[in-house]
Amino acid sequence: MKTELKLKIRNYFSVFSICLATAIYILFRFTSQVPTLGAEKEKLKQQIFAISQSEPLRTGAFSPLPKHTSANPEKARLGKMLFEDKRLSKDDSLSCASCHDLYHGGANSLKTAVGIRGQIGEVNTPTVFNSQFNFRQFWDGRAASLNEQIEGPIHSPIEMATSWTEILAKLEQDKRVIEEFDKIYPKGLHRESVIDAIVEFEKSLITPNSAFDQFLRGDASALSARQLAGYQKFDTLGCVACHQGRNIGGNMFQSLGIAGDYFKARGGFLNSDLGRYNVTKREQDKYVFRVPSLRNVELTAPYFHDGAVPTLEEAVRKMAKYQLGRNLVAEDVEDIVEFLKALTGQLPVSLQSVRGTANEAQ
Amino acid sequence: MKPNRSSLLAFLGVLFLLVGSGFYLLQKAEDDLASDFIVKENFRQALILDQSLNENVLRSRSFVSENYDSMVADSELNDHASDELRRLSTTMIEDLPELPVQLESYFRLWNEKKMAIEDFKAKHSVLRNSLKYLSTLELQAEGTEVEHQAHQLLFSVLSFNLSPTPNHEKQVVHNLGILMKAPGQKKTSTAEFVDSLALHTKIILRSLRDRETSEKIILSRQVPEALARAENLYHSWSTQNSRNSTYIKLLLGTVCVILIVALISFFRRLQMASAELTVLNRDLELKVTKRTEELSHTLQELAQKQQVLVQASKMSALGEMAGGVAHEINTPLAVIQMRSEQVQDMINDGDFDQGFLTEALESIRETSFRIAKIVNGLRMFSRNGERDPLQPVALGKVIDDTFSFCRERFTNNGVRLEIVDESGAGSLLIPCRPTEISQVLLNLFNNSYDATQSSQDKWVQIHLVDLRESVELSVTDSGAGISPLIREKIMQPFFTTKEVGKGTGLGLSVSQGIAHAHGGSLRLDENSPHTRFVLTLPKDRSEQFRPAA
Repeated sequence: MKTELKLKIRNYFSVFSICLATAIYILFRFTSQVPTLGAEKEKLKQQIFAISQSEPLRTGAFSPLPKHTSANPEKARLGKMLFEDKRLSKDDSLSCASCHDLYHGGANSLKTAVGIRGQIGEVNTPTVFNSQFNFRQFWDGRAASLNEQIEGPIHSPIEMATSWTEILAKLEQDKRVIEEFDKIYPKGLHRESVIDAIVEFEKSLITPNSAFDQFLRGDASALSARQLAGYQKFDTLGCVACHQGRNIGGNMFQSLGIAGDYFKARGGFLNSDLGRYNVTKREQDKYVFRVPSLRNVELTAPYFHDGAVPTLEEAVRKMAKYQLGRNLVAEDVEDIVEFLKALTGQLPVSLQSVRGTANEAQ
Repeated sequence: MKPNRSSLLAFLGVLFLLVGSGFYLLQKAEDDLASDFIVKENFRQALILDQSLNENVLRSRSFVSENYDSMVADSELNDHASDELRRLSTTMIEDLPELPVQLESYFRLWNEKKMAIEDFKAKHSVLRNSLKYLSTLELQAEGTEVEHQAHQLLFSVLSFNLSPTPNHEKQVVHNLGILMKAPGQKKTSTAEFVDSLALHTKIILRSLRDRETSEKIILSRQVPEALARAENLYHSWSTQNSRNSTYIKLLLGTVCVILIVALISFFRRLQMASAELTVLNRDLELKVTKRTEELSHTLQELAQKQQVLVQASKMSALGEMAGGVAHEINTPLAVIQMRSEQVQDMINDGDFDQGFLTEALESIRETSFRIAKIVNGLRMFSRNGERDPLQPVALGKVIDDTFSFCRERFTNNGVRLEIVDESGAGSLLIPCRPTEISQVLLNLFNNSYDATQSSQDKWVQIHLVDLRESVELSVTDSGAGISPLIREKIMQPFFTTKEVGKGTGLGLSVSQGIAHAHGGSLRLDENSPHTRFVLTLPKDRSEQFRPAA
């Protein structure tokens, strides 16, 4: 009888413990008010964190560039390789870097870009530096992100004139490329991975610590007397109304020729002159372009969307004339140009072999 | 226990299946909750960002040095929220097909607003520059002929900027007209100044109108309302959904509780059943032991009683013979009496005949022997020889001994007794207990005697046959035979055809028992025309020996 009782108790105990465990688990799962959110919440958290951690935005008309890039260095390294890879064009004659010369301010000195088989493009090559801080990509702002932007030159028949199928087919022949991608991307060599790597590299291309940025951060001696005078003129003349924000431009659209007909004075007509109209087909968007960033502007001659202006002085003068309705005197122009030279930052870290400015790299 | 175990397994299987599916549902509900959280968060973000954009637009209008980066950031975040909402709405398109439609109308309005913001930014920049420049131009006009008109124009422009009504616009156009026609235009510097003034006034008029249009689009309630419609749609669905999921949870909880209770009671019942079974088993064992004891006791009693009965039947058989025995003894006694009287007479007469005397005494002696023999037989018969060892005895002698105390009875009643032994089986030594065999024979003889009483020609024949392995002894009588109706019953104990008090009904059954104990048999020969009982005894039955029951 004793052993029987023991057995009974043991059986009861095991049954009860199972039931109790189940009940507690169920209870816990039922009463937990905070759901265990997965990756979605993490993403949201990161997003909120990124917003809270970003540099203060409302510091007058300008704000300095962040000192460090958020780009993944591994991906950026792979992206640099791709950026300089000529297999990204149809006849293996051009890479991204062919036009966006990384040691020439992220652009080139041609009036307009030259695509495969020597085809001449319609617009001047915008710099790839700090491009992530532009609110839209291309002169007409047709791409909302860098990921979208890549598709443009890749598929344009007068630029690289290829397709991802062709590019991937070529890259798949290269064991080293496949290995590199397998190391970094779960998907391995894939269209999305290629784009992501290039974008990640482009995000690493920031040119921090320009004299003006140092000035904005509180170093009053960072600008020379002429540059300071130029800065004041830049402000009072009204250049700042459009060339403003973190990238000193690149955060709005503006129509070219507010105070005078630029195109009439230049002569000739290019389809690209219509600017944003080519994207939206709205009458008011005719001759509207994305305001270009003025960072490293001294390195990216010639100027304007058509590359028709070879010098910075002329660019300043024309801008004042057609956009502000002023005729500047030589002193003003020189002062402003001096100021613009203060916008040249350091060579992006991902390109640095020796520390120096983007200017020094030349 | 077997069906119990399989039903237990089935029960557990069902339990796990239910609990498993329950957890699956729970997980799904949780995922729904997670995506619900994301959707709501994105709705909230979109609304906040929309508000923030509106604020930024209003702020831009009031402050000159504000940059557009925050508007760009808000726009981008709102685009991101829109993309998320679009993606999420497609995942629940089955449950909420109206949501994507509703969202699309919001997206369309949002895109319009986005464009309006871009327009606003561009026009505002231009306007701001021209207004600023106009003020400086007006300062340049000091001390010139057109000072008053320029002042008037600036005033009307500023009024128009503050309140862009058609009246103010007319005023601006009017003032501009006056300025253009003002005298003193010949002077080149003044002409240039007036041109510039006119250019910027025109720019202001144009930009202000455009900015006003954009601002109206931006600040209209359309976007937040469309967003609120979509959100309300989603919210009502999600409330219903969460209510449903609460029901599911409640149901699940109830099911789980029921299952747990069922499991406990199941185990409890099982436990009780097994405990009960144990008790029952123990009781049963006790009962069986008790019964076995009782049974063995009864058997013992029965065996004792049977022994008594057997003895009784023997005595009864003897009793039946009693008359005969008396006769048996009486006759020799009469001979002894007569001879002794003759000898007495001779002594009295004094006439001694040596021969006669010798003969008489010899006769007395012989007759006394005969009596002694009868008495001896009787004593032997009456004793219980059941436990005697088997001894080799000639059947003829046993027959003789048995006849010794019933011969007179047969002969006196005119029953002929014949012994037929052609093969000399009577002299064969058969292992047996002679007392018992004698009892069997006496029973058979008694029965035969009784049977012959009804017939004219009375005889009993004893037939001995050597069957090599065994010896067959049959007793046939001249009686009427045994009715086929009772043939099967005659060997049963307590069956008798004799009058009450005359027979015990045990004779034949006891006899059969004795025959079996000797490894032989006693049966009624049903083929014989007369009543014929056959006793078979094996010659060597050491192997077949078993004690009489």
